[in-house]
Amino acid sequence: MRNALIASAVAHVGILTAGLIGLSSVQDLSAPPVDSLPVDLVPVSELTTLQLGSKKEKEIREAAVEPTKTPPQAKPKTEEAPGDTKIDAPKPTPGEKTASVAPAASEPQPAPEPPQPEPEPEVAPKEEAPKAQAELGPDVKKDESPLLNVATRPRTKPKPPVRQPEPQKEQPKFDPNNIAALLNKTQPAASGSQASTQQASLGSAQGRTNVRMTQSELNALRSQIARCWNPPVGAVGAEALIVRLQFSMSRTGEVEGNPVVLNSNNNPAFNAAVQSATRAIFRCGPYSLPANKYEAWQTVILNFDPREMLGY
Amino acid sequence: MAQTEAVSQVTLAGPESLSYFSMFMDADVVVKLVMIGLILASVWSWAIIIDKVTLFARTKRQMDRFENVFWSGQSLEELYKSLSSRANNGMAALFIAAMKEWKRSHEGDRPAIASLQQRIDRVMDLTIARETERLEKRLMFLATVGSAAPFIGLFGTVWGIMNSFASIAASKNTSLAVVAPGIAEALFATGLGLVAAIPAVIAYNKLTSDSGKLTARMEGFADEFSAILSRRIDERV
Repeated sequence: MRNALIASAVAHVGILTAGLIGLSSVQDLSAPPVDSLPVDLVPVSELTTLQLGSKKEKEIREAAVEPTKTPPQAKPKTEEAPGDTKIDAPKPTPGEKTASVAPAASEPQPAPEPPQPEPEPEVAPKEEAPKAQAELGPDVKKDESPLLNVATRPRTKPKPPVRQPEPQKEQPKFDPNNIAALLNKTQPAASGSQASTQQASLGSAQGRTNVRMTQSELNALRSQIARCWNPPVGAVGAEALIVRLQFSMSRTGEVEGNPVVLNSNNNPAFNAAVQSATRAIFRCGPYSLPANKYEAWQTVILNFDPREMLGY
Repeated sequence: MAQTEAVSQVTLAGPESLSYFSMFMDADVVVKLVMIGLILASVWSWAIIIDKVTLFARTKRQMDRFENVFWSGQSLEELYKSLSSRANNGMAALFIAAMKEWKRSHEGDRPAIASLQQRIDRVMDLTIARETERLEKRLMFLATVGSAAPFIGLFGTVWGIMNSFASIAASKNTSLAVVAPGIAEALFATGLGLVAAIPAVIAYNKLTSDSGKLTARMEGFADEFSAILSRRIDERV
């Protein structure tokens, strides 16, 4: 027995030392480096946004968000024909010209000089000048010709002392009207038109680009209606009685008009199912939905699926 | 404080220092004791296995030799004289015990032959029981190790895992690096338990059946020898 014990002990010590030497270090499981995948969290509302557009057009994914570039000045002249051109085209009308030239004439006298030599001999005799100047104050917008006459006058040197007080009197009268006129007419020229040159996309006629009906809001509406819905449980094949209803709502969340059934079914109980669904819609109104997204829920299509209610 | 301690422990038990020896040294005291006990149990059970295997082989060899001599036609008196001088076991011990009883019954003036047959049977039964006890001695330890060592190892594992979860709670860090060393140590205990238990179970089954065979062989010889002696007794009466 002692020999056996010694043999056993020796064998154990041998095996343990062999294990310590041979298996002294555990191989580490080094996994090959894996490239991390970038994951974006996308809000559901992005998928449920209504896009502005018309229903007849094809869908264009890229919304025409950017305003069209201000066309080069040569272009507006070619586009005069459409009704929009009042805004689009900065082409000067007679009225505008009076507005723009008049202040220039009143402040520095030498500035208008270069164009003047031409009109001077043609239009303006010097005797008429005083009359025109008398008319100038009240009738700024009446005509081109008197104004041009005014512009010519500064050249005659004997009269400057007389004229200088006059513009001072005129300025308070001018400013409120003229500045408003200036502002109105310079703005559209700079910002271009609202009419986009891009094609309209598929969307709701009343849609806005920022209307978002989120999934949770849809679920809220669904749960409000599901509360009042008693599906025809007893009918044969009741679980297959899916009713698809379209109805519209007013801004206060009340149902307007009668819901329209969008599908059909051979099941004799289908009418009952339609009735129950319609009843549910009317019973639970008015619905509390976000008023600022009325465009999104004005017309709603709902699936009444008994399977979800019966727990199939 | 607790956090820094936990951090230092984690850095100490990094993967580079995770050898079997360091795994043993880092283990909790209870787990260490369990491991040591299991190693000792393994040593002892292997000692028993080696001892029993050699004993059974030797016993079997002796039985073969004795049977050859016994059935060779040699006279029983001579065989008794040659064997009685030395210590015997197995069949030889049976033979010696029976012959001793025979001789003692025929000594003196009044030989006690009337119930000699029963006495010889009883003596041989006793010898068989003694021999069987000698053969099967310590085999029960193998059975005990085989059934209990996995549980002991499991105890060490449970204790080690308890400690590693306690270290999670202390460091408030659920990363695997905090738990892994403790769990590796703990599983080492179960491994040792299995290392001790598996050979013990296999050897126990093998040795039990071997000793059963040897015992059956001795019983067969005892019956045969009893028949021979019974015939002799009846011839004398």
